[in-house]
Amino acid sequence: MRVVTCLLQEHDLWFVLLSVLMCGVGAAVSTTLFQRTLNEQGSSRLLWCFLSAVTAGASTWATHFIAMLGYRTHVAVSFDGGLTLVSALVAIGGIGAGLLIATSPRRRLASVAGGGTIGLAIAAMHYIGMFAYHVDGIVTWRPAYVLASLLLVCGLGVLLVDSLRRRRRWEDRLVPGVLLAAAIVVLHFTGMAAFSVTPIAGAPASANAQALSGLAIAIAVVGLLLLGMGISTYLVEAGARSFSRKQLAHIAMHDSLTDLANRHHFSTTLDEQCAALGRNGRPFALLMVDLDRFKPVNDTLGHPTGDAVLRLVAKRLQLAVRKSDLVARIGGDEFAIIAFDLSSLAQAEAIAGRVVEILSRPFLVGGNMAELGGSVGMVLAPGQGLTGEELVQHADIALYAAKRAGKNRYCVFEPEMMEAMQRRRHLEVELRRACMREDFTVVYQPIVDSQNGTVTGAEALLRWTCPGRGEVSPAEFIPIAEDLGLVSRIGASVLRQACEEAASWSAPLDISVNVSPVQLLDPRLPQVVAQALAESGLSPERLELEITETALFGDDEAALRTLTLLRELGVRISLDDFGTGYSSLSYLHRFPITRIKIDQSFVRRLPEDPGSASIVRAIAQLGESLELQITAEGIETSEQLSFVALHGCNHAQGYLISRPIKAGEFAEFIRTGAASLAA
Amino acid sequence: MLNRLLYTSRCAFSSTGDALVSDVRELARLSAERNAKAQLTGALIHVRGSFVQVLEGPPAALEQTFERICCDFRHDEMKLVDVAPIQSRAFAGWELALLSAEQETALSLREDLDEIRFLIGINAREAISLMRRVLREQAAVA
Repeated sequence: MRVVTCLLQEHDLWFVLLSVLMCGVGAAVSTTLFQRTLNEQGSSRLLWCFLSAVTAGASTWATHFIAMLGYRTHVAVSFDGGLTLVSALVAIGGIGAGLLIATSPRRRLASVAGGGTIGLAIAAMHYIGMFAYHVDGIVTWRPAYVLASLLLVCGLGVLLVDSLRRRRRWEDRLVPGVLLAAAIVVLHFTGMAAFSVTPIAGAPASANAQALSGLAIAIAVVGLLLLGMGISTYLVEAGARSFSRKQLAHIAMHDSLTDLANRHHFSTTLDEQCAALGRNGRPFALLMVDLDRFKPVNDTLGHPTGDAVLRLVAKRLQLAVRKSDLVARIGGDEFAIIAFDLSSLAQAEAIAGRVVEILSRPFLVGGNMAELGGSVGMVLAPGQGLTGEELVQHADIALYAAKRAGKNRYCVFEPEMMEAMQRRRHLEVELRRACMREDFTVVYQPIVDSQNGTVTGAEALLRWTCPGRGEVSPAEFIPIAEDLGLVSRIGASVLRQACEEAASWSAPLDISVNVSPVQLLDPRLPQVVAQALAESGLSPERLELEITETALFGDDEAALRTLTLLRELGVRISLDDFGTGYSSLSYLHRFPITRIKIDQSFVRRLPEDPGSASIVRAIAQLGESLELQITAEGIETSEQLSFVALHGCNHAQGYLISRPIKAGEFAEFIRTGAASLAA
Repeated sequence: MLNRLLYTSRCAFSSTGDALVSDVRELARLSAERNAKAQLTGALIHVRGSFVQVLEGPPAALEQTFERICCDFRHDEMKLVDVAPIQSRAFAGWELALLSAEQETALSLREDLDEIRFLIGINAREAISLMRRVLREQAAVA
């Protein structure tokens, strides 16, 4: 009761309002800074603690001092400057100390000791301030009120620290502010209620009201300025932090080179979309984009140019899709697109088409021109997959199909691709294993002299039986072996087997072995051949290597070098499948070729088809004049055999003579002297 | 340092007839404005559904403009025929001269443009000098 009357009757209301304003603003700013201090670590915690203590101490002191100035006495008043300053410093130091204790990891100690210290600091400030307050009258103290004020302020201090340490909802941030304001107000007015002045009769009652209000306003302004500094420091720092946090979030979600979404962002978005499918989510498409021919750009023009190209690719992709779609870079030259909210397959295909089109256009970077191109695999959700993993897998399969189909195009996923893919995966695994164990068989197709039907040799043909899939045609597994980089090894294995086999034959017949374009480009080929000959003891003149025109088409300098070395070994070279490729006559002239094999597609139409007949005749004549041997492949009828024999083909090969047969059978075939198969 | 580039492409505007002619004219006008700012000069030929464009200027500006052209879906089947350094501009004064055979054009001009289109694939230098000659003649007529 005494507190209320003290407040209402003994204080000037304007001063009270000013001090309430000071107190409220001070409490709000101070608790914000307190919170920040508690959340900090290490040395920056000390700095924040200092700022908080100065702000809170100064505002508490200002609140007290303004309220004191508003205390109505009827006697003259003066202040002891030194003690007043001490009271302000006590507030700052005490609050700082309390705050430091409040950061202790032990919760109870933090609340009780920290809160208590803050409370006591406020009380000490008040009572020291009161000692600095000199009145010309008789001062009486009411100990009960003093004690009550101490208990109340300490209790509120404990509650304050406790509420600060609790991480709660945003609106609860008001609570500490209210508690601090309450602590200051309650202490002040309870403390003032403990105090009373009785004027001494006859002393001049000359309180200078005007001077006091000027002082109050000055202190309020200085206090508010301090608070303003405190809060602006906080806000500037918080702004910078939120900016750097946003920047960090951006860095975490984006690719630094292209500023596209990164793999993480992409996966998260894809999973979100898939999760939304269950609820009424809209269909969307996933496009996997792979750049074609990017590696050569990096290799020949350098990484800086490669990076510049990737940046252009990123910009182009964003132009090719709709604004709302997500474009991500998920690997070196791999990109992914999520096209949201699709109404039809046609819409998705239009986007894929634009992506392929825009990537097929030339890139001009730093004076260099790069022709890239892109392959796209597309899958639609929910129709072709429900989970992110499934969609990515299916899109990759479609992408693979697009690449197999010749790149620079898009493919939409189809379930059949899965089977093809599984077969291919299986073949890849088994092919590697077979390659390790040299698990290939070689069969031999006899070749005869077309004039008298004597067997002059055989062509070694590769056969592979895949466990679980049966016999696989070379047309299927050789390209896979090429992709896996196994062709040279397989080729070497066939060569070795064939040479060994031929060396064991009872008659010195010829053996021809196919050499793939990849093998021919391998500079180790002459060494491999020499080794196979040395190990088997086969004389080089009996070995003939069959190459195709496509092998000569690429790097013909390298091919010429290799072929020359092979010829120097004494090995002969024949040109296989002649007439089907580019059939440049300059090859016959430039390369050390000893034989031409006429492709079976011409032989098959003999002798009725006049075109084929002319071609076969022409090639035979060409062989004669260039002094090349000629073999006709694919002889199936005796008419065909007579035709090629008549027109000067030296040798013949085909089902009419014999299918490819096992090594043992062929050896037997020679031994039994069944040297003549056909007449 | 100046570079010149030459490319061909197929017109893929959605409009046809007179609308197409005015769309292409508008494109050429806007491009000329941009080229003026980028110190580029050149010519655009529109003949038989194809574009032939030659652009010359500082390499960086040229690359930037070419990239913008590459991002335009109003044409497709783009082929960059040639990029090479040059001593002096062949199209000085023309920010982007438009030569079109898609509208009412004199027969001789139409023949010349066909000839240019044919020459591009064989001899870019010849094609460019023919373009220049045709432009001079056109300017003289106007």
